[in-house]
Amino acid sequence: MKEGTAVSVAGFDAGIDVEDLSTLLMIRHFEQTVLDLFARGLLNGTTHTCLGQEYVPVALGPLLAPDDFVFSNHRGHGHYLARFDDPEGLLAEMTGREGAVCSGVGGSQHIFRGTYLSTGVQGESLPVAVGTALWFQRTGRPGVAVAYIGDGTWGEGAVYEALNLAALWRLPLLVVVENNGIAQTTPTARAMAGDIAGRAAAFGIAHVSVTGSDVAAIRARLAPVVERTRTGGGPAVVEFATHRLGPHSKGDDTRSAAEVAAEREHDWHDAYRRLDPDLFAKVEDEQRTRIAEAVDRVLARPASVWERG
Amino acid sequence: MERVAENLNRALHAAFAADPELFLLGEDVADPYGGAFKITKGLSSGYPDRVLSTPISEQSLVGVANGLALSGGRAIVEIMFGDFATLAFDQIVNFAAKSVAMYGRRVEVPVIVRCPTGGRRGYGPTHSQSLQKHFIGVPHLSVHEISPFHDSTALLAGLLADGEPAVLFEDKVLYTQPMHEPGTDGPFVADYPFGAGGPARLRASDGDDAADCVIIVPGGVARRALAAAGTLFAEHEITCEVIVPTRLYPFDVEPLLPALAGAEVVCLVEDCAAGGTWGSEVAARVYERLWGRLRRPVVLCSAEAEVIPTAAHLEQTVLPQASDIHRAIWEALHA
Amino acid sequence: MRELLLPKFNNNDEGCVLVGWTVDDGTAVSADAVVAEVETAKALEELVADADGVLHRLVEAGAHCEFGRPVGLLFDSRQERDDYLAAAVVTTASEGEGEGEDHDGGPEPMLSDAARTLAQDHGIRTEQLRTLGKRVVKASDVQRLIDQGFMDQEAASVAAGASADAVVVSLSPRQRAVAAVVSEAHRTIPAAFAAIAVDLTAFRATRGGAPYGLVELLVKAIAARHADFPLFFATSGADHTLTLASAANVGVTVDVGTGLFIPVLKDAAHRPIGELTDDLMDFRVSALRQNFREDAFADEAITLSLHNDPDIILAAPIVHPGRTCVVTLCAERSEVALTEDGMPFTRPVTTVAATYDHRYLNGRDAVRFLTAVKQDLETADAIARLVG
Repeated sequence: MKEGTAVSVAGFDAGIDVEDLSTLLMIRHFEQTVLDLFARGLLNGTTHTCLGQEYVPVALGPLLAPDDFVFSNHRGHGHYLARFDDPEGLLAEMTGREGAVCSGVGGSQHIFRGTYLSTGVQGESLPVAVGTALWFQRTGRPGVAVAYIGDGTWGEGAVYEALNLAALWRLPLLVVVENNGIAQTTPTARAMAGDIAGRAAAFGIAHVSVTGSDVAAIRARLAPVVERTRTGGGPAVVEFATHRLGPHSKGDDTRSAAEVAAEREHDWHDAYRRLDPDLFAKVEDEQRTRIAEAVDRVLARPASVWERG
Repeated sequence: MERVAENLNRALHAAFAADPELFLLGEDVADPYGGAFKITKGLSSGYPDRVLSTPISEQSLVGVANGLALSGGRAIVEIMFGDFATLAFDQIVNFAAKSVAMYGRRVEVPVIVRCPTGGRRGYGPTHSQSLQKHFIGVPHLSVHEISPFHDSTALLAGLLADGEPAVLFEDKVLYTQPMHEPGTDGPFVADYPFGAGGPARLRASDGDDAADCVIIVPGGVARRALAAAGTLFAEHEITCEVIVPTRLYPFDVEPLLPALAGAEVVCLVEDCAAGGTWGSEVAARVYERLWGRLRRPVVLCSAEAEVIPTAAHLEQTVLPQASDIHRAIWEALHA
Repeated sequence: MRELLLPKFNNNDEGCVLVGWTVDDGTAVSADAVVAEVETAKALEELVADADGVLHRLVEAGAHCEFGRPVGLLFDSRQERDDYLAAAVVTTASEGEGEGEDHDGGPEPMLSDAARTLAQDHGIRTEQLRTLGKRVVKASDVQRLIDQGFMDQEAASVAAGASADAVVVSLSPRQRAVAAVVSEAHRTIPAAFAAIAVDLTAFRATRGGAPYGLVELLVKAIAARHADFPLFFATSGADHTLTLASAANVGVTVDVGTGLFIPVLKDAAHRPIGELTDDLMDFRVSALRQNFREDAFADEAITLSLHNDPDIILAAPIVHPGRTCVVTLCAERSEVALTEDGMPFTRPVTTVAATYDHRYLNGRDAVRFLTAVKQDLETADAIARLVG
């Protein structure tokens, strides 16, 4: 381990949770396949893969209830797959095939299923998340509104308006920041004065900083945070220092090879493999096959139909 | 005799009494102030958990309303001056309106954004605008305006039941005026031949005599149009029929076609600045259906393509007055 | 307190619409401040306060008002206005019940101005208008009632002191306006009269297809007198003063059946006769269409009253208040004369007369004026000079 990666050795000693590993690898292979499909001209439009960040929603998943409202963003495949374990539905959505989650209308960025919703405009989801948190509070429901945002999102005024309201009204809102140090092609240092912790503090909002990618350790760390927010403790900002291994969308990675290589050093993938190579290989094989078969099945389906209401 | 503001306040109270999952958000809406124009008077006292005074965050007000709607509730947002609706444009156009369809199936987003609109109070360029035209043509977003000829209780109930986001414009000067009853508007009496919730028709005429001129106006301009109709008849014996819809967009021109086809001239009047107006949209719909039968081009009367000045004598030169409507129709008939 | 009267903005309308007040009720205004905007059939005009005072509005925006009627009051102080208002409340409270309650419900019929005027002229009351069963009443509707004989016989008869079966007519407002003007003229202007015979032989000889007629030539001949006879081109004022005109603006009577108009040929002395001819033709068209421009009647200095219908030998018109002289042209006629040798021949002649305000002009002046005009009209050289 390189210095600075706070992976809890204790967690790994306890063994890898097979379900967690399956989900992690399912997402990893899904994303890699998506980039591959684009390269082969089989996917249309644009997409934003979450390579390197998969562990974030996987860690949070069990801490959330089915009725909690999850708001995702453009880089949301991991968020969706961690919640619904539905690579076929997502792939069908992205390829405009029958069985698409949103009939192919929303595509990669605009997904709505149950109490999960993603939007394509930065910052737009936060005030809406505040609205759902307000609903939980006023109707006496125990739900939490969770909003996934990035570091770049903090450029939008809507974020500050939403945090102000959430703190003012003491709402059950959890803001999960996937701070990967870069927004499209702009490093955070060039886009953000001060830091996220200072911003949360300005509104009197609890801020938790998470480094490392040990899912179990992260989950243990965050369980009380989520519970506090759920039970009237007010909003919280959980900031993950994470690493984007791939491009912003496709072919728009302006970082140098050395910079990308440095990001790779933090990848949970190799860390987990080293812990239990046999289990890892088995699960990876399962997931690789699963995704590959999913691709074949979905691509063979007819085009999606949009029922205009 | 009920004033328009009282009628709207009563409508809000009725809506809140009928629906335990209705929320209202706005700046300074709580009692005792009851909103900048007193429209929400009494609401926060009656329903303290569901009527929220917020910080100055127009974008988030609408965002929160969107979240409440997504969660299964309904929400009304009061933007203090319609001019500030521009701050919430993303939440209205990119989230509320698009969410109805962009997820591949119909999603209900029952959010009403209320916008006090219009000038003639000397509030100046950023507090006097009529921005209806900027919300026209957004799929799944409807645009409406209150009128003294329509009970707001029915209007509001209809909008909430619609399930789609709506922007509701409310002329500020109209707030202080009486709701229409026979006699309130001189010889002009309202009837509703276009169906429930449809436009009101104001006529001083008899039976089915076709009017020389048909004027279509939103509620905020209606009484100026009636004044022009009065002077046009007094001075030139030109008869006018004034049609006041509450739904500005999407605008159904079909039921009006017989009256429009029979007129010497059709006139559309609004307070919006000239250029890309609601009137031009309605005119385009009229031309589609009546091109060969219209006797002359549709007359569009609007504010000047200019900012709205503060001083009353300057404001009058920019905003359409009854005399401007009179002159526009007179000149069209004598071109 | 003084009344703020609606000034007469033109000579053709009876009134106009007060579009809107530009100051609030009860505002202190200074003289010449714009207090309202009014709209005539042709233009938007400004109503200015004619004195300092606290304004009290008498009519509402959108109301139609007659020229010369009060549209507001100017009080010397706010207190005075408050006192007035306090008194008004008492009276309106007591008479408020009756108004508008004695009909069978529903809005009053809406009358056009023309309809209202016609109804008033012929004494037709609201109840009679209701018999039309129309909510919207045009002049043609009222005319129908009149034709059916709905005149207010009884009231008119009583007023005229006539017997029950006498046919009585009352004046139209236009005629009443005329009656008012001539009555005042008769009352205030001691008019005298002189007429001169003019031989039109030279005029006939020089005409030969020229684009002007006797009227235009006479206008030029009158205008040419401006320098030598300034008092004939003047406006009478208070205390026996005269304001001399700076230019020979000749008003000419025009009546094509739509009413008597006196549009003005401006600066007739210096403008070419062709222009005057064109102007006069335009005036006749305007009279037919009743769409004179605002300034058509302004700045008249002297009037030419045309009585040149066939066989009219003499006419003595009224001197309109403000004028000092009205020139009359009668019909052209043929008269028999004798040459020096005693041989009879016929020649074309006409009569040109002057009716004048004897306070300012004497008989000798009138005779000299008419003689100079006559000489211009009878001499080929003079005619050539006048027509340019």
